[in-house]
Amino acid sequence: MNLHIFRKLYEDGLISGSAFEKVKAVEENRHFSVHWELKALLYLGVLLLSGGLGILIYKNIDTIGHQAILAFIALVSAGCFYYCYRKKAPFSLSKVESPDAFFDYMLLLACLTFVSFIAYIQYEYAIFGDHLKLATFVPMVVLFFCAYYFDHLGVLSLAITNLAAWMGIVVTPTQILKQNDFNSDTIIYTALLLGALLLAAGEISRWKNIKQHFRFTYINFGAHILFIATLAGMFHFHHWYLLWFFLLLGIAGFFYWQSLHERSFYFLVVLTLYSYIGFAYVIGDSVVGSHFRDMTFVYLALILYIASAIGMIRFLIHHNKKFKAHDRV
Amino acid sequence: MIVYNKEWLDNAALQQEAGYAYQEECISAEEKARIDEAYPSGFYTPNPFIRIGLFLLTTIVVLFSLALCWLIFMTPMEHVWRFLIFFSGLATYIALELFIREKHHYRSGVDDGLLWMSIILLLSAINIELDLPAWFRCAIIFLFAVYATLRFADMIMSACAILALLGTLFYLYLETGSIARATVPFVIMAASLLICQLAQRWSHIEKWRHYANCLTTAEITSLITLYLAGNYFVVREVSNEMFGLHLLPGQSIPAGWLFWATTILIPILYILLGIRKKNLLLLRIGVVLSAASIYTIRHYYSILSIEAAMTLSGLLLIALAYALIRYLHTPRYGFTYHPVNRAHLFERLQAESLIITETFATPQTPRSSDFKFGGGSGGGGGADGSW
Repeated sequence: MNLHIFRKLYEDGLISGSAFEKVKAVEENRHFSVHWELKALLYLGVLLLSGGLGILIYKNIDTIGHQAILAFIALVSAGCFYYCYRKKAPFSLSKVESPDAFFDYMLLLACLTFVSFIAYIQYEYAIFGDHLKLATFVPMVVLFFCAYYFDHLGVLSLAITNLAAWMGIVVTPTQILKQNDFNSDTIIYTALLLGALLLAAGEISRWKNIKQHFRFTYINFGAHILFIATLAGMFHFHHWYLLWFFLLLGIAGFFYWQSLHERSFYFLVVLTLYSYIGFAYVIGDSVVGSHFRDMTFVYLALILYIASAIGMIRFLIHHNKKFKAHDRV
Repeated sequence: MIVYNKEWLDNAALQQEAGYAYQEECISAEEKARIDEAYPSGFYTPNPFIRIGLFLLTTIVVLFSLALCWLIFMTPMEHVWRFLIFFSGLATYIALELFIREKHHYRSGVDDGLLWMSIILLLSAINIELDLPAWFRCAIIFLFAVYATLRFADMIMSACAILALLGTLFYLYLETGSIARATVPFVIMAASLLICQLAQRWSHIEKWRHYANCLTTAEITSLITLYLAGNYFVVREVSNEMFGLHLLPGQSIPAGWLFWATTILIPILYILLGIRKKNLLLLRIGVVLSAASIYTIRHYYSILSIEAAMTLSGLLLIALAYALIRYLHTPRYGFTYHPVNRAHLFERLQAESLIITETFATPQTPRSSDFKFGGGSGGGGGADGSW
């Protein structure tokens, strides 16, 4: 905060003397904060360590050293869990502040090494036998349990991706389009189911007041999965695409209602962009599918694309003004 | 020169300061409202998410309009495309000016989209297929970027301006003869240092307060180019490509030791200076560039196997961070571990948890019976999805 500005505001009588004193006190006692830098270092450390250990066992699978490595991973996981168990604040259904950033990242390391450990022993000793689904089910349950027990949003997101994996889809943000074969009926239906499930989980956490702050994570994953699934449905079930388009509009309507309710800019933009893709597909298909393969229709389609994009822009600007009074995410 | 209403710019900056003071609970909500009323700013600046949405949609509108014009004019006239691109660039620019003057858009996504599209279109119309020397192309880009920076105070444009200026210098200097090839890294380094110093000095000038962010961006850019010009990997590969040295793997460039020294020393210097001057910018760039240096060293000398290096450095980093967090729990020498008390956008979006999923997990369900460990079913064990 710039002291000159606040001195001027004080002299103009816009802020009280005590307020100016407070600003001065805060500025004079301000320390140089390296909070985010240290968090980034920790994050990088956890990333490198868990990744390194993962590759280490993978490369040493059939050598004598692998049991030592396995023991080391188990030790890291158990040690981190023990540390978190000792440090954690008492459990509560509402939000529990974590003791410090180090706790958060140790929990993350514990969970990641645990997942590697399970995956390894399944490979080597087949403890779950041929029940392969169990091999993703067990880590998922443990991750969900840890997310709630220790109150950690990052672990919750890991648990959700594991739930998706258990159901058969990849939901990591940049991988969702690359790794899933959306040309299969089952994937699309599974994704719809998963999205609905996550929405329900988010709503229940608010309704029953169980870890209310988890709601955003659930709803966020749910929204993207549902939108992508309906768009995939439009492209895949070509003859029925209008049906899927109406489903897309229905989901967009639901999130529109939500974002009005919550004054959420984020969901407003998300639903606008996904709906635009849906619109664009409908426009494109009606032109290509029309019997008159005339340039006029191509012009018409382009004009419609432009007009609908301008319409979306006006829609966003209008709602931004409406929400402005209460600035939120 | 600047297109925005200067009084509003000042008022917007003042409102922002008042916002910080309100978040730190120094001033009351009433006082904040009174300040906003006394210093009104009529800009249309939406929420950051809306800005992203508007930016994407604006870009779509410009691209489809270009496609429409193309279809209408291409059929009768084959060779008009250069004029077409040029005129659509001009039209986009006029739309930009209108949106800012009439609708008072300021960092709204619409103005960002129109500015970038108009600059890109105008530059492509000039640069594509015309037989121009490389330095001249860079110089044209520099002129456009400088104009855009001065007129719209756009940070990315200022970074482009610095890069284009260095590019011009690079190509012009190379034309002076054979000695230039050996000395060009030092010229770029010296120029970067000069730009950095000037940007630092100018960002405190009251008259140029509206460009403070641009000058900071210029400073960041030049700090990075200063490092890159002395980076061993960059120097070796660029001279190999451009001057045809035909180096075999393992062969070094002339005066290689000098570039190894700059590769290793510059990040350390940045970090030390950052700590001494309490300059967050230098500190962060220094840390990021150290990672680049480590990568450079590993590229030529594999000291440890990748997994051993990852495990060890991971352990080391965690230990270092733990020690520093413990040490700075009570503020020392003006440094503290405790966060600045501002509601970061970062925290509001819970972006941290998203980053965690992004980097740790590429889980796949085991497909039928060929459950392979290397298949990546490790759920979270994968380093970065590269298994």
